[in-house]
Formats: sequence, structure tokens, C-alpha cells
Amino acid sequence: MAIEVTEFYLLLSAVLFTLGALGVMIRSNTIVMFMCVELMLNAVNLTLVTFSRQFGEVHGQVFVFFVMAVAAAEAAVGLAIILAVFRNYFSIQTSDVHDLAG
Amino acid sequence: MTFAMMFFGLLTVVAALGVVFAAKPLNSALSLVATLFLVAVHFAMLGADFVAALQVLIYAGAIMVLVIFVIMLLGLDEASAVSKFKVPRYLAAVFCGVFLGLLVFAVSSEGIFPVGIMDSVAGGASESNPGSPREVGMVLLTEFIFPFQLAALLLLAAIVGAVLLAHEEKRPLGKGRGLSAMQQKNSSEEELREV
Repeated sequence: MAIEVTEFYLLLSAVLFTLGALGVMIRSNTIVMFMCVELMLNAVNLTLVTFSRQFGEVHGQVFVFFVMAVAAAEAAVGLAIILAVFRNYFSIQTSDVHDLAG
Repeated sequence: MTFAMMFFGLLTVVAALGVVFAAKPLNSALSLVATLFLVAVHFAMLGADFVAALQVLIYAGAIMVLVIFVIMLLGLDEASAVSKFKVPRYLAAVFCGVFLGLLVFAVSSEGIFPVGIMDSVAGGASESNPGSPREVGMVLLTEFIFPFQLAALLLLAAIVGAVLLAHEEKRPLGKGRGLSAMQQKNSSEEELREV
């Protein structure tokens, strides 16, 4: 039973992570890309909690706590960057911000 | 694997599909809120009570409020699903398909790193509940006290950085402020470039 549950959640987080990666690749709106990164972080968190349960140890969940702290910091700085980009380009589409493309 | 896990798992995948393929950013954000709540449900079903509570408070509460606030503040809710840019869609689909196949192969019983092996390593899930706030807090504030303090420092640095990045310089009233001042600046830069 335990193995079945572990395997099911590993598959689920694999699907979630792939969806997040797909979103980062095909969307051009920076906020949506940002949200897809959050989706990938959550998939990894799900894997960590699954293994924490599998091994009966608490360290995986402690690591999830740190992932969440870093995600919160990333959200604050990332959204501030998006605001700054919007202020300079009046758009947050990746196709509009191409000054370095020459 | 119970029926509830299957049911909420399917819901989670549907909500995640909504995040990636919704045309409007706001719909994406609301789908992400649903996804985060469903992941919290999975955490609870896996016995990680503390992490489930954190998930609802930090992700669905704080981070998503911030994201939705920015979307509405900038008025960015126009549909822009298809992009003309970077990775071609078919290439992205192929890459993600291969990637997902590799992951599924890796965690399946016949894979290179079969999960079944771990049964002999750890003897399966334990009966005690290691996910209670008490257990997690004990480990977090003894064994991991130094990383815990570092996380606090990181959050402080992030707050200062966010304020620095998003802070708009105050200008004297006569010269206009905010976006209009930026427009003036941009247009003058363009004039310079043309000259």
C-alpha cells in the first residue's frame, strides 16, 4: 500500500513539474511564466513530502519549509522586477523586452 | 492509493492545465490558487499537517494575493495565449513529452531507480505521524536552527530588494510624477536616439 501511494504521488508531481516547465516554455507573459515556476516548486515540494512519509522522517518537511521561504523571497523580488519592467516598457510580454537582442 | 487520492490528483492536474493554458493571466492565477489548495489537500493526506497549513497560509494566502494584486494593478488581463517567440510550441511539447516519459520511467517499478527498492531501505511508511507541527518544529528549531536564521536573513534581504526595485523616485511636483514622468523620459530618450 505504501509503495502504491508513493508511486502515485511521484507520478503526480512528475506531471505537475512537466506542466510547469511547458508553461515556462510556451507562454510569453512574464507573470504567467512566474506562476508556472511556482507550479514546479510545488511539484518538488510534493515529492519531498512523499519521500518524508515513505522514510518516516521529518527532514523532508523541514526542507519544504525552506523551499517555501525561498519561494516567498522570489515572489517579492520577482514581482518587483515585473513592476519595474512594466514601468519602463509598458508591457510585460517577453517579446517586447528585447533591448539586448541587438 | 485510495479513491480520494485519485480524485484530488485528477483535479490537481486539471487545475494545473488551467494555469498553463488559460488565455487570461487572471484566470491562470485563479487556477493556480486552486492548484495550491489541492496540493495542500495532498499534503494533509500524506500526513504532513504542518506543511499543509503552511501551504495554505504562505502560498494560497500571501504569494497569490501578491500576484493577483500585481495583475490587477498593472491592468494586464488581456488575453495573450499564443506567443510568437522563443521555443517553438512543437519543440516544447516534444521536450516535455520526453521529459515526462523519463520521469515516469524513473519512478515506475521497472525503471532504472525503482521505488520498490526503497521498501527494503526504510521498511515502508511508519505508523507515527512525523508531520505534526510539534515534530517539525522540534527538528526545525534544534537541528536546523542555523538555516532557519539564514532564511530569516534571506527574507529581510528580499524585502529590502523588493522595495529598492519597485520604489519610484519622487520628483518635484511641477515636473510630473509616476508613469507620465517615465513617458516623458522615454520619449526624450527616443528623440536623442533619433538625433
